[in-house]
Amino acid sequence: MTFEEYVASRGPALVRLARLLTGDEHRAEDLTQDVLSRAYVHWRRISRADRPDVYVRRMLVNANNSWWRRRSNRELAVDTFADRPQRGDLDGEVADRDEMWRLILALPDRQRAVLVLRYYEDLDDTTIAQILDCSPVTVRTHAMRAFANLRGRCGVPAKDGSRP
Amino acid sequence: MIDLDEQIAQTLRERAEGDVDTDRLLRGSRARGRRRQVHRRTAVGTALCLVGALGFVGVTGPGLDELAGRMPWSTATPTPTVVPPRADAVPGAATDPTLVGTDPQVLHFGLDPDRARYLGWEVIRDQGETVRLSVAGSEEVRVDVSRSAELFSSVIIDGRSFEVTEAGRPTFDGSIRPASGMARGLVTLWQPAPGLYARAVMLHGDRAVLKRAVEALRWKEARRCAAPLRLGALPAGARVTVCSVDVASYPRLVTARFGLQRAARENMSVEYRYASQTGTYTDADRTIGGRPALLSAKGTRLELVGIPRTRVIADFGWPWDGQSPPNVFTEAEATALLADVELSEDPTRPQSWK
Repeated sequence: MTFEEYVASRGPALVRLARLLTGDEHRAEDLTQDVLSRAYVHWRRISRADRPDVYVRRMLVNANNSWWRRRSNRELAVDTFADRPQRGDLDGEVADRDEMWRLILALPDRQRAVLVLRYYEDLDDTTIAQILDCSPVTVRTHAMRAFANLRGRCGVPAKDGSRP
Repeated sequence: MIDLDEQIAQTLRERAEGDVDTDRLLRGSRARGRRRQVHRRTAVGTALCLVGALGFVGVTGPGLDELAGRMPWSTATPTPTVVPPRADAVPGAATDPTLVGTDPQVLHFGLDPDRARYLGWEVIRDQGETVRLSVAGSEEVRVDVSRSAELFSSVIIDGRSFEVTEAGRPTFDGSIRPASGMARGLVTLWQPAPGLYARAVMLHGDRAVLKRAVEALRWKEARRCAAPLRLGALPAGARVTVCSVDVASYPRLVTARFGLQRAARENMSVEYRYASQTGTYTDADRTIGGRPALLSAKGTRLELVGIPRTRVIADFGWPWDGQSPPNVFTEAEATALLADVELSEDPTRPQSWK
């Protein structure tokens, strides 16, 4: 697969993943361009990997976790909080999701990444572990902590058999 | 009531949706990728030239026995070195760790110049400080220091970009271990003082070199981020966020970069590059501070020209494809900034650096 073919087929999904990791649309595209530009340099090697998409997504998650990005994200997150609509402004469900998004954004980077990869990308723990360069046990630990965090703050019950 | 799984999934789907301009993404990624390739090739070419030069010294120089215990730059043909000047009034990182990364003009740790050679240094405001060094002619060792245990994972070593990651929570125990993200890299993390976090990493593992590099660090001194260029008046509301100097190929090549920021997306950089074996650029379409200058076709880059073997470039505006943010640094601000820079008359004399 050429670099151009890869970006054409997977680029939109990477940008969407970056939107969830960064919480900011402009930054998401900038981050994705930056990661793809690094992949471009090493494309011959990456394209020979068994699962190039896992490799590129790992680059994306790591790039977002780098300090510079995280610091900027925090600045943006504050803006997001300040501007968020009040509960009374929207109907209940939308307000709940808005509140949930705010809580997800406030999670530590690794916990948020696990939730995004599991619930948006619908990946299994083994693949998530490959992307995050950790063990599946660590993935489950991050997921459990993220769940405990969200459950404690929003009071939504987990259904029986919730994935963590 | 919707269960938590479903609520998370719905929220994420809702937040991720929206059109993506794939053509713009491809154009931007490819353009940036090509720029990275050019930088890498330049770095590799420089390294090969240096290897060639050192190889020649090796062939014609003294035998191995005579070299034992001696630094390569103290042999018959010493390699000139640069040591950033002391900032005597400023305490070192071990004395006051809270100062690390607070002032891009000051590095709060240093090296014992008898045990290691500076290849470069960098301060990024609110992030941390970096020194790149070589021990007895070894390959590059990169040391990153910060006030936080969450050291940034993206690092450039020998001109190549890597993601240095730790599985789980990083352990600052001083042990030397393989660095993930590199084939043969080694990394060590430790706390030189309470509240101070350090990481040393090298591309090709040599435990002894990494250990000696760590031992060569000096934590009770501060040094200035000196360069052959000094910025004057800054644009209103802007502040310097990055000072980065590379002297790995000194005296043939000296580069420096300053980053300015005014708001989250308002960035400008000023790059200085002296290369002893290049010519002098002369194409100009304006004059800035009495010097000829040239504006790029895209209108986001101003360059001072006519300075022998030297380039001074200000990148401003929004250089990437895609919609520009509403506020960016302007050409007028870049012009005023370049008009006020001070340049060292002889970049090969570090004593004259600002």
